[in-house]
Amino acid sequence: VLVVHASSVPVWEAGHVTGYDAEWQLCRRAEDDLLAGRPVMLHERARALVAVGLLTPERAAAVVGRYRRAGQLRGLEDPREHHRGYRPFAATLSPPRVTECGQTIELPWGTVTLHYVISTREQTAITVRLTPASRPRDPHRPQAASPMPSEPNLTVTDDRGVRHATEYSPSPGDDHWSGRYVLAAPLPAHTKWITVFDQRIELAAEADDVSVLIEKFDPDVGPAELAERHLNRCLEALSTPSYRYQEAVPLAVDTFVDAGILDGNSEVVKQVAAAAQLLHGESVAPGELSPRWQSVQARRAARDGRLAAQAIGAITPYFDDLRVALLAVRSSPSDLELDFAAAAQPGSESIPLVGDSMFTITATDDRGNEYIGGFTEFNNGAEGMRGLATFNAPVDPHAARLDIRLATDRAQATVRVPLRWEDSS
Amino acid sequence: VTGWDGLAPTELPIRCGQQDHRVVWAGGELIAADHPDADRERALTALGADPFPCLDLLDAWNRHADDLDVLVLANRGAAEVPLRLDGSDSAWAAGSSAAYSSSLVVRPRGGRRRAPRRLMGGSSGASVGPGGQGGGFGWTSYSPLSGSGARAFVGGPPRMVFGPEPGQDGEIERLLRAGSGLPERLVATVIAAWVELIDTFDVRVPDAETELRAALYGRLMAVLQGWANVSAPVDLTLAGPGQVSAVSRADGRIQVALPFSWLRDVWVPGLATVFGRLCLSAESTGDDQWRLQTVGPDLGPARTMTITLD
Repeated sequence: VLVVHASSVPVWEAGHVTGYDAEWQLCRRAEDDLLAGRPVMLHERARALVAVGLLTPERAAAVVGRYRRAGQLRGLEDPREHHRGYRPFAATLSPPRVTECGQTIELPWGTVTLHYVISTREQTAITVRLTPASRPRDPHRPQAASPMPSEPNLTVTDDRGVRHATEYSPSPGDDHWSGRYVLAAPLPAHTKWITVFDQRIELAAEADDVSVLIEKFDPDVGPAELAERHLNRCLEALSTPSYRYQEAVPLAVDTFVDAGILDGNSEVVKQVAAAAQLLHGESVAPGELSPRWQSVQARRAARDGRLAAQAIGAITPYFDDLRVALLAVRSSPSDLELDFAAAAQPGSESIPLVGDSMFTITATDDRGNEYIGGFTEFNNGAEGMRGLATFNAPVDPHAARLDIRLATDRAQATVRVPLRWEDSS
Repeated sequence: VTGWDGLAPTELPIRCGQQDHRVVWAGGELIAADHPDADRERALTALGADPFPCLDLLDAWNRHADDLDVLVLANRGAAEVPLRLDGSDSAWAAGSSAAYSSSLVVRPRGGRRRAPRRLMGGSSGASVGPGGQGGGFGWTSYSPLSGSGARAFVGGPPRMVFGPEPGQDGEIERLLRAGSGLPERLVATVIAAWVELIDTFDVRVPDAETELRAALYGRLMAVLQGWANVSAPVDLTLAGPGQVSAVSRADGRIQVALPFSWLRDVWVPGLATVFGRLCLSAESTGDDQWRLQTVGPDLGPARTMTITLD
């Protein structure tokens, strides 16, 4: 893994812009909302103000917290306040060992395709696709295959002969019965091979040939650029199904316009609004979108993705106090899934409510196509975040390389993954 | 207008242990009238005895007597959405989780008497100050008032407390759900405390300026909406000590300059609008006479109005 630190610019710090009292404006809006009997919706505004350095995370969180209590006392809670950006919890994230399997095993009820084995200090999981055997339609004829159990058992034996029970965890909404078998206990680090359904799988020793580029965003670029950056994060977050917060982008835009950072009639604001429409599934004239979002729109309806999987097994250094492990990608005709784990640096400061800048996953291939990842499955807990990011379109089948961007408002890591997959059934 | 003009004495009936007690507010002081030896009772509670709801209320009051969160959470006036009251039969609705709620059971005036109940074991922290010393937090002088009753001094030079102790979340909400007009008097207490801090150029004031301005803005807007259905945006300037209160209209906006003490002198006594005029300031001239500076709905020149009690 090649790691390049692209910038030595100090991490962003909140400052104060003269002429606009952000904390006061936030309070004033909350007071107006309370008086009007409207839900007090400060989160997105506060986060926007923090993103451009007009308010410190601590002050923003204090204001939001106070008025949240005031709203609750009146039954005027922001109904969507829990839809905040997703920042992984703090945890120790160890480098993963990811082994591609590419084996298909025939069983009485169908086939099991073993994609890869992901092993960390905390967990070992085998990513699979289950395919039930086709059954004759004539009910009077003997069945050619056994019915597939609802949760087929899988037992793993390691190189010491120890048997490990597993638990199946299906991927939601997948028509190919994809999922993971998670071992009851992680495999020891020195495990060289395992046996699954009598198939021996040699575990990989090192990560694949990927490079990681860490960039700390320049905090001195001016509020307009910071605002645009934040709006991009807001847009990217809209691809996460549970973050269908229609008001998030307009609220952030309105905050920037109110602060005099963006012109409400500017091209940037119009393009952001058009991109938000696109992400909400509406049709948008390509001319209204920036080139990036035009690319997203162009690939949106594509169904030409390969049916393939590739292990990555890379872990980034810390950027904005985050560390992300990219485990593997799975391609299908209609989308691309990224299996990842992420964690904030233990001991790093986390300001509740608004201080956590959003963490998003996007990608670009070497043919210039843009992909927006939404968190379709994730668990954020004491061991950090573990999840699946599903990109909005399949990867161009002719692409040879994928740059996966992991971004916050303050920094990003780009993991360059050479695509070397071949179709698998 | 200073002190507690416009706020009549009130008392809150409380079921304290097996007895009906009263917590009395008068002239800026909150008194647990039936606890002549409050310090001893606090000590007993600290040693494991059942808490005394009257003293819990008194201590909670003291903890938040200069807590600006009170002004954020409390109602701004009749124009605002009323607070949601938990419970079915009482203006005081004890919460369900925090220590303070564990012991406060209040019988509403004229309402059905409720049996005392313990929601959680003990009242850790609510009636005991930091370090576990009963009454050792905030206004610590509990001395007899007219021969009996524990009291919290709310007037005079306050020894301030700064926000809730850890684990006291929700305590303000419960205080604001108390009946008998106590929430309004708690708001007045906090306002009075901060007027004094401002007047004495306390070092905490600059950091709290936005909160003070917001507290003033919310209450002023509630007044303006009820007064003249103001729809124009309002720009509020927090006037410093000695600066003149003013209101004017310019470029479709209403410019208002008021000191925070407007809340104490005008809003708390209920003088914000008088005879259809907005009151900018009020001062007592003695002899039961008050002189108000007022403006009409046209926001024309201020005119003096005098109120005399015969």
